[in-house]
Amino acid sequence: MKHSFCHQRLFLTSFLVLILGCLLTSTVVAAPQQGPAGMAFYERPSTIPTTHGTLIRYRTATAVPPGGPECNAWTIMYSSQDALGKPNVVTGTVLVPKSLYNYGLTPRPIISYAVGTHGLVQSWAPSIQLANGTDYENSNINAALKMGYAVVITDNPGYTNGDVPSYMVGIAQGKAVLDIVTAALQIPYISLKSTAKVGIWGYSQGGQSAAWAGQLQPGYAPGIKLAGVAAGGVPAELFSVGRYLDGNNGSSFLLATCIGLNAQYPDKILLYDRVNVYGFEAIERGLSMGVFEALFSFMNTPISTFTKYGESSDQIFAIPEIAQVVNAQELGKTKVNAPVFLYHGTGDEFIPLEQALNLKEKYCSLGVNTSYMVFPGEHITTQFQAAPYVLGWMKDRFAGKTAVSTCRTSDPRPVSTANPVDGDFLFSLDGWTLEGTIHLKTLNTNVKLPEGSTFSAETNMTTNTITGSMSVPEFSYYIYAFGMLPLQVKLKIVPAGPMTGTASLDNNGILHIKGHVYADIYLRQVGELGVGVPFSLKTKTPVDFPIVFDGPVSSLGDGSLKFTGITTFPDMVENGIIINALFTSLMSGPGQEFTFTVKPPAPRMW
Amino acid sequence: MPSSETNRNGFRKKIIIALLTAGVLLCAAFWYWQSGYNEDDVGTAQSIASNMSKNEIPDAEKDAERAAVSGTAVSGAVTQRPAYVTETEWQVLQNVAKQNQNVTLAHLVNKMLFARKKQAWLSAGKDTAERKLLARQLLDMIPGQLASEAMDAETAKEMKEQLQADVAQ
Repeated sequence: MKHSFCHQRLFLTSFLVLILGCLLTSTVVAAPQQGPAGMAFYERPSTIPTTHGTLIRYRTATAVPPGGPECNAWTIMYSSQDALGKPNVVTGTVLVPKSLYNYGLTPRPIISYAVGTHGLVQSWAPSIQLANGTDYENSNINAALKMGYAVVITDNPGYTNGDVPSYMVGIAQGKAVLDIVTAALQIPYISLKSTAKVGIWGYSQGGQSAAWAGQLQPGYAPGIKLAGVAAGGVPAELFSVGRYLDGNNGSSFLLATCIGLNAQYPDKILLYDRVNVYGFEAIERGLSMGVFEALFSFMNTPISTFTKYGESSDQIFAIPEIAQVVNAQELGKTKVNAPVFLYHGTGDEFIPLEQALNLKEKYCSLGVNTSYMVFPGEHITTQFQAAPYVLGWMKDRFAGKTAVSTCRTSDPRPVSTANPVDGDFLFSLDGWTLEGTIHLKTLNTNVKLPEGSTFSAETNMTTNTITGSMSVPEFSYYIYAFGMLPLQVKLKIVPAGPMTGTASLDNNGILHIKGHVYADIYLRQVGELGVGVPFSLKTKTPVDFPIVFDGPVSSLGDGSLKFTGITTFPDMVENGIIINALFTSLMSGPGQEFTFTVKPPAPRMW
Repeated sequence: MPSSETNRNGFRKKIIIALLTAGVLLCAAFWYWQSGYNEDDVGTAQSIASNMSKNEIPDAEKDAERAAVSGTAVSGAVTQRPAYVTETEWQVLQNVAKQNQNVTLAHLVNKMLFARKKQAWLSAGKDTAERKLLARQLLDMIPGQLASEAMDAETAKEMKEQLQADVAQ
């Protein structure tokens, strides 16, 4: 009996020691550490956990995009894997809104947001840009946060100190997109739950990452409750994307891709053996630039400028080792075990439409529930115009609704409407929706532009010019100056020549537009109760509407491209010369405030 | 379906349509009442609209144009209609001043006077005494127009140059 009691005590003691040992081990070795301030945070640890998705370090951050909801924010470093399955470390950002989600009844969904091209220099790492409040994708991230979702944003591999991003290595990027979800759940006291539904969303490079994450998830991160994958502007076939970019407006992306692929597959790409002196210089410059600076610096520069024997992209892609690497990035060979929402702009000047449409067909043929949305705009516009559509789709996935596939559409295959890309960088706003209000100072009333008003412009980002015009249908306006009953006036705003001005996109992704729209304002009829009396007044000279905008490039798509200003209305005249004293008193003079908002036309499903 | 039931259904439909029509009429009447229907308003608006028709410019307007040549600016609380403002215009200006706290009736009246004098000045023959007189009057009025923000500095500068050229001749 005593013997047995001793055995029991021994067993219990051993068990407790074992438990304590396990706890101590996990505390000492595996527990994530509070990361240091400054760039020391981005220093790679001496050992990398072999389990991918392990949180290595974290620190609270001020990474909430300006204008977003109140959030708890962290910058994190976590373990992931490169394309070849070797452990690596990646940094990123975790944002969790402070507001209660769905009254606390369901776990807050998580969106793993895969960023578009940021540039190869470390200072353009999304976590650094977000912490500075300057990330050019703030608008999309905010839109997701405002839905109450947690948003986790990987920097992608290669932004730790002294590292080189493996840009466009879809497999590594996809893994980083998945692992940040697992790692975020390990932040001490974070309110996120492992049972939360997860959506993956990305555009451009991020579209590639998102689609890869979707394809990899069943085998690589089966614990993630993947509800849907939204991928836009996807470079699905790197061969055709590379050929398209070579020597065109988006040449910088091809150069960066060469650098990125070499970072992952140095023994196959042999980048430094294949470039000439200009190539060496271009690589160094490319590594020191953010996306917008690189875009304009290398615009229209063919890859043959940099290759040792002047080889073109076709010749480079024909080298078997390189072809193998490029081929390995191709999407659409594996099924995604969740609904997929793909989208693209028909005017995309960087990522060709055709190969993106092919991806839909590949997924459809694999039995993936795929829906496709086609936007009328170019690359950057589509990136931000798509946000409400993506988030609406994602909301349905989180709600458990069945996704409606467009695989069996009978609509014709969309065709590219992109501007020529082998010369100046052109940017078209073709028939964009114009919403506007003019506040008439004396009458203290707002005149709202009617539905059907449009704004069209051609911008040349190389010569920094913009020419455009607006079209406003005749509309009725009510003047409340005649007792209680309003007097109806037919009003027409007629452009008096094209809009002219300057337009540019700076290295920080800030769009600058400055110009003038001149328009005559006509009052053509007055009446009441539907009975009009012919009447013809117009401004003696055209009204000068100064058009000024300085804001993030995302404004092009997210509806915040607003021109606000104050102008002067000239005298109102009859027959072109005789001043109408009453309407001059009521409508003319300085201090007339206006707001014109310009939005891209609506997308369609395909 | 038996015919009696068909009749009953038809009767029900009629009742429903009648009730709906009555409802719509009641709503319309209520809305009209709520929106402040006033016979005087309708009359005013109609007369203003017809007075604005080019073919029916009343003599009153021509009288007002003539009165503007010798008319002077007003200040403070304006209670009497100046001769250079027609009866219709007076009603409109009073309504606007009532609705907009940022403008005074005096400012509106002076803006009208300025517009009328400007038109008279533009219509007057070159080198006439009337043109010079009006140019001088307009020059005197410009500071007031600037102060009441009825005119911006750039427009004032351009106009001053033209007026001074006339006065100098």
